[in-house]
Amino acid sequence: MQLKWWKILGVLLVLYSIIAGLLMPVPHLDILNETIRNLYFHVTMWFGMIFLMLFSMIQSVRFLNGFDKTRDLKAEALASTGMFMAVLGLTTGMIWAQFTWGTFWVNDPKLNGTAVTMLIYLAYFILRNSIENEDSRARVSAIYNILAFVMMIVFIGVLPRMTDSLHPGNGGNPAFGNYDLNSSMRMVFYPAVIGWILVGSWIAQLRFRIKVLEINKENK
Amino acid sequence: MLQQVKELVLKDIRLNWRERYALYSMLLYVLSTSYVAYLSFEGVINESSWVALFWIIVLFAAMNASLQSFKRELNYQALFFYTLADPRAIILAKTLYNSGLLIVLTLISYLIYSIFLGNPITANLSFILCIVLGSSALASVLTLVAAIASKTNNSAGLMAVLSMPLLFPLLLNLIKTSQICLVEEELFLAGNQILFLALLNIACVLLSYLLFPYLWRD
Repeated sequence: MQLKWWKILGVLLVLYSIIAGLLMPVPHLDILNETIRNLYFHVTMWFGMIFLMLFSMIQSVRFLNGFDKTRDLKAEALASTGMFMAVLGLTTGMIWAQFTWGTFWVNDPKLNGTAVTMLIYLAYFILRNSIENEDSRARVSAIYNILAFVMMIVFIGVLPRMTDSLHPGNGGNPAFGNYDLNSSMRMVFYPAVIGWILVGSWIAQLRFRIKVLEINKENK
Repeated sequence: MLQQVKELVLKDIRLNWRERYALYSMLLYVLSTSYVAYLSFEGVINESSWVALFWIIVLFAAMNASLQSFKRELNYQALFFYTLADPRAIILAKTLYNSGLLIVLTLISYLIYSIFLGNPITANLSFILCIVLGSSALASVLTLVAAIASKTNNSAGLMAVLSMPLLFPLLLNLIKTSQICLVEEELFLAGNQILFLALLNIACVLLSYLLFPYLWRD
């Protein structure tokens, strides 16, 4: 049983971000107050999700290049882990919104983007389950995965910049990068992002391995 | 390749003209939904509802129209086509045909819809440009999704589930562009949005061009 270095690094970074995120000094801003610490947990989930979806799409592209079944299983595992992170990101965001904006849900392009992203990937899982033939299931869902990722990037990347948003950095709201994400917060934020991406990949890898074991057991 | 695309588009036009009832059913759909909208709003409708309702009607008409596009190809005639044509030519031809069909359908819907519910659009030229680009973008996404959905057992049900979230950015953009067309005559104000529509169009066609060959060979 050897533990790969990146898994240790991921766990250490996440641990560091939890401890430092709760203990290190943060700038005191109106309305946000101490809830600004949620930045280390809420925003990192989205970074983690987008990277996992990106890895998933890359696996789908590689699947279409040679039709290696394991790539398809990897794509599914990565997408479902990304979905899990999206749920976590949405929950943390909703709690944060309740304390800063006053409601759990506002009509905001970023929130709509999230909702649509989740719908797209739920559709991906439904598509996977509705095809019985394994070969065509893998192929069709790989194609949809690529299409879905491109559309998701269009939605969460391009559209919010065309309209106003309550989120920092849009529609006249200052971005964290301007002044309030000061250097001490960066020291926690960026390691946390990397840590969650690594931990997410690890979870996805475990899911993939469980899936492989299940398939092997069925075939026996 | 171009020759093949041309032949395939002509084939589609001829075949669908022979089975005109499908075209008539789409027109009837637009007519009846517009009439329902007219009855439920009692002829008085504010401008943003007008725009939203228009695009929702068009969206469902488009979904119905493109659902039928792979009815033939992926079933009994699939092998025959497989030996005859390049898959890239097939998807390009389908996308072209569906775009043309949808542009005509949307323009007719615009006419019928305006008769029942009035026409608050001031920038007619920009709006028609928006209709043309928007329907062809709708068509190019829906054609690929129809191809994907036709591979499953429950294609009609899955079509809506798969395409709705994918069409969200497009639909929002179309509604926004149309709202600009409500007030401003100048083309350049809607220019950014129209550029986005054009780019989305290109991206969708490119994706279908790249991905369809994998879907096709079974």
